[in-house]
Amino acid sequence: MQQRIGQGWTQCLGLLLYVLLLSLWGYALIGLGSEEHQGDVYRIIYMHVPAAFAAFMCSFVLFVASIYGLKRNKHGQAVLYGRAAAEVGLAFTLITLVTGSIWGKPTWGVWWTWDGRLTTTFILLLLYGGYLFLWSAVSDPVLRTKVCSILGLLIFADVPIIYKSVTWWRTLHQPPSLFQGGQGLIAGEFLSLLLGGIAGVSLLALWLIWQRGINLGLQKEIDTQLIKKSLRY
Amino acid sequence: MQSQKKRNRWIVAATIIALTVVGMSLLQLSTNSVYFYVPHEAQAQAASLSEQTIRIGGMVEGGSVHWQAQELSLSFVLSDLKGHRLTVAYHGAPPDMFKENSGVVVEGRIRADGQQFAAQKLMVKHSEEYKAPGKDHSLDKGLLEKSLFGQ
Repeated sequence: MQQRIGQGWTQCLGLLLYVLLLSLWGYALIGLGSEEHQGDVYRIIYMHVPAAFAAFMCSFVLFVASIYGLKRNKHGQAVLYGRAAAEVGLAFTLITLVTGSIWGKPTWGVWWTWDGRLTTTFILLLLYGGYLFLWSAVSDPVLRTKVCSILGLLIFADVPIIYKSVTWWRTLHQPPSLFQGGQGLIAGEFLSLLLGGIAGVSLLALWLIWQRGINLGLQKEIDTQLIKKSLRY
Repeated sequence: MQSQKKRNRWIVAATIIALTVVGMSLLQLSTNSVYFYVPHEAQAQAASLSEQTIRIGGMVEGGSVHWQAQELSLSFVLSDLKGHRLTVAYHGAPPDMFKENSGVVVEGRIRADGQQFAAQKLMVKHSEEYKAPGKDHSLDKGLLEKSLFGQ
């Protein structure tokens, strides 16, 4: 294991992202004007939308790690990055649901409703949780890599369903505002900050997966050493 | 060779499971459970639907809202803007975003004649637009209608 947590520049990178995001959210709260129809409530989209995109991106990392783990890296690091992605994905899915709920109460009038978008996102939360559950349920590492990676592929399959849910079915949740072919659904000054937020939070998610993946690798190495040691006595 | 075969079997199994789940969830959500009916669908099946709790989505007709603060009673006309209308009665304070000519989804019971709806829950359907204040006050109603009633 060549990499180490806590190397100077990786910490600096994390700290930089943290400061960047804090100032972005600060500006979203103080610097920007309120929205014409929703007032101040809309500001939560700067946390809600980036968190949702980050949760989607985690499933992509999980997908790649699962394919790699299934095909050629049964004993190695790949599945550890998959697990790291599931952990980070779980956190961002939870943030998405909680912030969405807080936005929903004043805007829709309800905290929660079982429409297509909310239900499929809730399923994503359960799947991420299920992945971690499954991980701790299987002790044989090779078998664990297999079953967890297969579930990883499934989790990735849920994401396009979530994304298209608002176009395929009737939902309370509104259709997507972003990437709709330049229709200008979001006012320019709101849009640039939102895109910045999506980029920032996605990078943060990648950074977290990266660090957590190294961390899990070190843990595995420690466990192996301990077992070797205890066998010797 | 043997392990290569086994590995491929796993991948095939995984793909099949993934496709099945995706297919099933598509089928389930698109046919069996419509999140809300539009007015003319609910009215056409009003006699059978009146036995259960359903949701209907539509626009709040301008000038139709009656709000009695003392009794906390609200009534308005829910319309699909194509001539299908039903009167909705609701007991309780409406959400802040509720207003005339906005989109709503109501949850409750339709009367067998299809003209009256007793709502237990009133939800405002928001459109996907975010406007800077003062510049352009109007929301694009077309977007909301498309999202409610389809093309």
